[in-house]
Amino acid sequence: MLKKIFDDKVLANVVNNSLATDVQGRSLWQAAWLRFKKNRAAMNSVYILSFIVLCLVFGPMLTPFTHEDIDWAVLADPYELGKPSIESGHYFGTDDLGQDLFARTMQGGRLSILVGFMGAFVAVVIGSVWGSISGFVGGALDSLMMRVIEVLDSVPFMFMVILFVTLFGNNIYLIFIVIGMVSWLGIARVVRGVTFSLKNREFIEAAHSIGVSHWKIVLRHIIPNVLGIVMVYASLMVPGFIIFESFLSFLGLGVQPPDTSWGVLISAGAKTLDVAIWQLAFPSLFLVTTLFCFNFIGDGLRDALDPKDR
Amino acid sequence: MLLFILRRLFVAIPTLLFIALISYWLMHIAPGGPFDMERPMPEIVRANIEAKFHLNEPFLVQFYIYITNFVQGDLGPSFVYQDFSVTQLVAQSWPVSAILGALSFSISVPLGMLLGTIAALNRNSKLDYLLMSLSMTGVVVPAFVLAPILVTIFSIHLGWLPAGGWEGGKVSYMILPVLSLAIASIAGIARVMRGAMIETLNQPYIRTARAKGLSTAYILAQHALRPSLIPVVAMLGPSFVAVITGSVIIDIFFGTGGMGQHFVSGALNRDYGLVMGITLIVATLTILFNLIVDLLYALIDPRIRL
Repeated sequence: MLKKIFDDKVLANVVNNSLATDVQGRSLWQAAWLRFKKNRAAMNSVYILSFIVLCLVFGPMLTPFTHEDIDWAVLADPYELGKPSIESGHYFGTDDLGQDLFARTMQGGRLSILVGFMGAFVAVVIGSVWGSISGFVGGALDSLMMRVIEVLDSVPFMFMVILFVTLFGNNIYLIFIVIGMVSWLGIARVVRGVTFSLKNREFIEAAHSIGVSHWKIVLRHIIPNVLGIVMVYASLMVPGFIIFESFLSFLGLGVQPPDTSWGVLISAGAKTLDVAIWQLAFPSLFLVTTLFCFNFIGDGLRDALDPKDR
Repeated sequence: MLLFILRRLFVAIPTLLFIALISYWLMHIAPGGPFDMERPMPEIVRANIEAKFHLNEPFLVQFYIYITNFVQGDLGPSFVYQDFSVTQLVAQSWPVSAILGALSFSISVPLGMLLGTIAALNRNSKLDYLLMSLSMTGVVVPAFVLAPILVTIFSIHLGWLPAGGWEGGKVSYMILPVLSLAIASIAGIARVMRGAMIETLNQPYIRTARAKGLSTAYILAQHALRPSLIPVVAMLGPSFVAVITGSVIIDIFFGTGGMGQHFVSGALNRDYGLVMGITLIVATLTILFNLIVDLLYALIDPRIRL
C-alpha cells in the first residue's frame, strides 16, 4: 500500500505540479493581464479598437478615391447623388464637395487617433519625469515643484490652447505638443505620490546599500512600479485628447483642408444633418465607438492594475 | 480655515499675474496684429494708432500699463469692436455665461448624484446596466455632436424649442444649451457617484446600520452619503472646466452671445484686449472654484485639515 503511494511516477507528478503552481509565481503584469482578460467589456473593446485601427490602416486601399479627390459627377446634387451606395463606390457617401466620405473618415481617424496617442505620450513623459524627480529627491525641490503644479492648476488651459493655436497657426504637431504640455499635471501628481511611498521601501534601500546610482534606481525600480498607474491614467486621457482635437477642429482651429479629422467631419456633417444624415452618422459612429473602447479599456486597466485591489 | 483662505487668496495674486504675463507675451510675439489689413496702412496712421494703444512702448511697459488699468476695473479697449470697451463686452456676455454655467451645474450635480446612487443601490441589475450604459454614452458623445442632434429633434422635427439665440434669457431659449452642457457632467458625476457609493455600502458600519434595522433611506442620508461625496467633489473641478470649455461650443452653436463666443472670435481677430480680459476672468473663476472645492473637502470630511 505504502509503496504504491510513493510510486516514483506519482511522486514526480506531485513535485512537478507543486513546482508549476508554487514556484512559478505570477508577476504583477501577469496577474494584471489575467484580470484584464476576464473583463469582457475591456477585451471586446480591444478587439473592436484593433479592428478600427486595421480599417484606418488598410481601408483607404479599398476605395479608388483619396480624401482629397472631388467627384465632379456628384457635385451637381451631393444630397441625391452623394448618398452612400456600393455602386457609386462611395460606401459612406460624399460630403458637400463631392469628396468621398469613406476615404475622409479613414484619413480623419488616423489623425484623431494619432493626436490622442501623441498627446498622451507627451503628457506621460513630462508628468512622469516631473513627478518622479519631485517625489524621489523630496525636500525643498519637491515643494518648489509642487508649488509650480499648484500655480499651473489655476491656468485655464483650454483657453491657453485656443490662444496658442490661433496665434501660431494650426500646425498639427503644435497641437500634439500643446495638448500634451497642458495635461501632465495629474500624472505628475500621481507619480510623485507613488514615488514618495516607494522611496522608503526595503528594496529601494537595498539598492541604495549596494551602491546603485540614483538614476539607475529611478530607471530600474521606481519607473517600472509607477508604470501601471501611469498606463491607466494615459489610457483614460486618450479619449479626452481625441475629443479636444475634435473640439478645436469644430471651432476651425484644428487641421486644415484638404486634410481632415473626425471632429472636422462631424462639424461639417452637423450642418447638413437634415438633408444628408450620413455625413454626420459615419464619422460620429467611428468617433463614439473609439471613445467607448478607450473608456472601457481604461476602466479595465484600472481594475487590473489598481494597487488598491492587491 | 480663515488663514487657509487668506493664504490661498494671497497665492492667487502672483498666479494671476503669471497667467496675465504669459498670455500677454504670447500675443505679443505672435505674428499678425489687429491692424493688419489687406491694404497696408500709411506709416504715420499706424504710428498714431499704436501710440494711442501704447503699442509702441516696450513690452514690459505695455504690460504694466495693462495691469494697472486692470486692477482699476478697466480692461482696455477692444481693438476690433471699436465702439465698445472690453469691460462693456464682458459685462454684456458675462451674465449669459454665468446663467448657463450655473444652471447646468445645479442640474448636473444633484441629478448625477441621484442617478449614481440609484445605480449603486441596484448594483448589477438591469437598471444599473441601463443607467451606466447611458452615462457612458453621455461621457463619450461630445457636446458638438449632441447639440446638433438635440436641435434636429426638438427644434426642427418637433418644433418645441428655438434652435438658437438668447432673447434676453427666455426659458425656452435656455433649455437646449443647458441640456447640451449638462449631459456630459451628469453622466460623469453619476459614474463616479456609483463607484464611491458601492465602496461605501460595502463598509462594515453600513452592515451594522442595516443589522440595527435602519431603513435604506436613513442609512443613505445619515451614513453613506457623506463618505461617498469626496470623489464627487473631486469631480467638480474637471466638470467645472468641462462646462467652461463646453460653453465655448455652446455659445457658438446656439449663438447665445456668451463669453466663449467672444473669446474665439477675439483670438481669431487678434483682438488682444478682449482675449486678455476673458482669459483673466476665467482664470480668476478657476482659482475661486478650486478654493471652494478645497473648502468643501474640509466641510465634508472633518479629518481633512486645511
